[in-house]
Amino acid sequence: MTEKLENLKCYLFLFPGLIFLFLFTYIPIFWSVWLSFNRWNLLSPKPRFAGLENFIRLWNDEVFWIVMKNTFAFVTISIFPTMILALIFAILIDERMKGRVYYIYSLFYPTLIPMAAAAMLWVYIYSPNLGILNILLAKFGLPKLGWLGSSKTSLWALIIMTFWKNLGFFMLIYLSGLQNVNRELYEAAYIDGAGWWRRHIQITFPLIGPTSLFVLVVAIILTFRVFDQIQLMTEGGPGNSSNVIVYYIFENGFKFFDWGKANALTAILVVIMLTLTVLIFGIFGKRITYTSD
Amino acid sequence: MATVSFEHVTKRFGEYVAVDDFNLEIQDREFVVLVGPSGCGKSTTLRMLAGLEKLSEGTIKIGGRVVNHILPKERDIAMVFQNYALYPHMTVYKNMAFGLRLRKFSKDEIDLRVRNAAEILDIHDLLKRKPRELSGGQRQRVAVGRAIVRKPSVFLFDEPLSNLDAKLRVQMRTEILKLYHRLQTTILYVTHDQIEAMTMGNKIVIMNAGKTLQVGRPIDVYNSPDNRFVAGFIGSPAMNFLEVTLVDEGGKLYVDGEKFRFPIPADKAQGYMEFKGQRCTFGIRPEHIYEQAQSKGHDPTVLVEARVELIELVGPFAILQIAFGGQIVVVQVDSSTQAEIGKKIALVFDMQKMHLFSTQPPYRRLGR
Repeated sequence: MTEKLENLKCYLFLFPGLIFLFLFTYIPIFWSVWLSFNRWNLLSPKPRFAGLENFIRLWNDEVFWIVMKNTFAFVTISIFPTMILALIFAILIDERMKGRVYYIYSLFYPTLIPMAAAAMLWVYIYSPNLGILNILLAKFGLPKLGWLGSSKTSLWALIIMTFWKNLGFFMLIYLSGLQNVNRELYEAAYIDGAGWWRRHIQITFPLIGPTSLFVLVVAIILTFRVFDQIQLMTEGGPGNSSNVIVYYIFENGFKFFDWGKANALTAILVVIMLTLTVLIFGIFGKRITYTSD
Repeated sequence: MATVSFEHVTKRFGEYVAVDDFNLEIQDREFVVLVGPSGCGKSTTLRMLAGLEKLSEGTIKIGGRVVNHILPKERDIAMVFQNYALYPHMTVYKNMAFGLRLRKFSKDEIDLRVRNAAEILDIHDLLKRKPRELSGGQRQRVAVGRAIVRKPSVFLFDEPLSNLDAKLRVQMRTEILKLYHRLQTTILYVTHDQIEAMTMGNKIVIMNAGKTLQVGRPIDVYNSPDNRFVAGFIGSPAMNFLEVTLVDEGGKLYVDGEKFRFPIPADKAQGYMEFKGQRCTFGIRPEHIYEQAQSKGHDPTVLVEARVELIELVGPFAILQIAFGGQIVVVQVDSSTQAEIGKKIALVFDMQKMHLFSTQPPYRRLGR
């Protein structure tokens, strides 16, 4: 009886939080998935059940495939360099090289500034004639690039900028993960004869597993969700060369007023992210060493 | 097998001097214990020998070779850490094989050495386990195993038993000693536990505040501590100290506290003659004060009556706290004692075992 009462108390305390979670997360997701099976646009302003119509339209939509290709390119190209470099920087900083604080600040600074400010900064950096990047390229005798203005480079330009913006964030997470690795292990390995690389490959990488898993999942979610910098820097262009799924949802919903299609895209995004998260935890979750004692 | 020598070794961390002009010669196959309170520089000294800390000044030699700038892996040493430092993601086998693999030993040789060490340490049935599946004592064995598979010429132990419970600590102490007799190799062992130091070392080094206070065989350090710190640190319960003046009366020497006066035996008194008239610290160990009822044939001229404040029965003996000379004096007596709290007891001070120390730093022992 007391146990039941205790449980009831727990739920009571959770209740306010649960209300918000349901109201603003679960209900909208289910609502959105339901709407993806409805025709709902300017011409039919009341949602009407239409089965798989929206999904079939997407299947036949040339832009949808470009958007999916761009999104997956964005995620796969940006995640691994970000994770690897974030870890390397975290290790270097963790080893107390001189000017540690300076490095932390300068790496974490991009994460702190608002995306709008960062976007403006990079628009300047990428500017074809005044931009510092092209000036540098010219100095080394390399041809100038169009960056944001060219369909060949626009996606890459956004990936580089996003990499710069996220690096410090992941570095900080890794840095906190490294604090949990027992220092004596490095000393033991050092005496055992392991050099710098081997110490980190044999000790840091395996023991930082839980942090890496967390970083991987967060990085996937963050990159699937990129929107601000695209809206601010390219609007998905030129053509659809830098258009990604969240921006395409926004376009369908608020530019083309095709809410049915926007919801179908949302449903696809939810399914992809859920599948990836479950897969990643399924594959790596059990193989990770969680203790470092 | 190797000798180790520290020559004028100093370690500074910024302004702080952790180890100050440390000198020590360790003979081949000698078991040397560095002992001292926390922060005395003993671990730093060990870590400098291991190559984990750089020297600020001085020279360290292993087997006659200067190793100041030589990497740990090339020093032919192995170290057992306080928290074991076992690799948590590797099995016991892999933990022990790790150093050998890095040194490119053949698979067969590695297997032979690991199984051999596991046999010696009685951990052969644990080889497939991960460290988290082991008890504290088992982890300690694996840590020792990881050191012995390498067959180094010098073993370093950094407070290896301090995380074990009291019973296990005593057990591991004897096991490490057995191992030492079996392997016949040079060992440098760091501890803050003076009982460990006394029972394990052929030679002990007592350190405090970065300085070496005394080096010697445990029994010599116990019998003839060089200064007041060593006298108080070695031995348990600790030596009693009473402030006295050396008084010469008719050619006979006395230690004179304000509330007591003890004659110094004639043979001992000669060594103290030059200090007569001086203030000094009189030291006597709890085990050298006897209950009169239990004492046989000790000099009754230093018979004292004093009130018992507290009795701690340890088992084979009892520790009494006695109000004497305006302070508390600790006395170790047989557990058959008739002492009762609040009542007086007759005690005999064994003046043959007394010590005198200077009241000026570094509080050296006076006399011979």
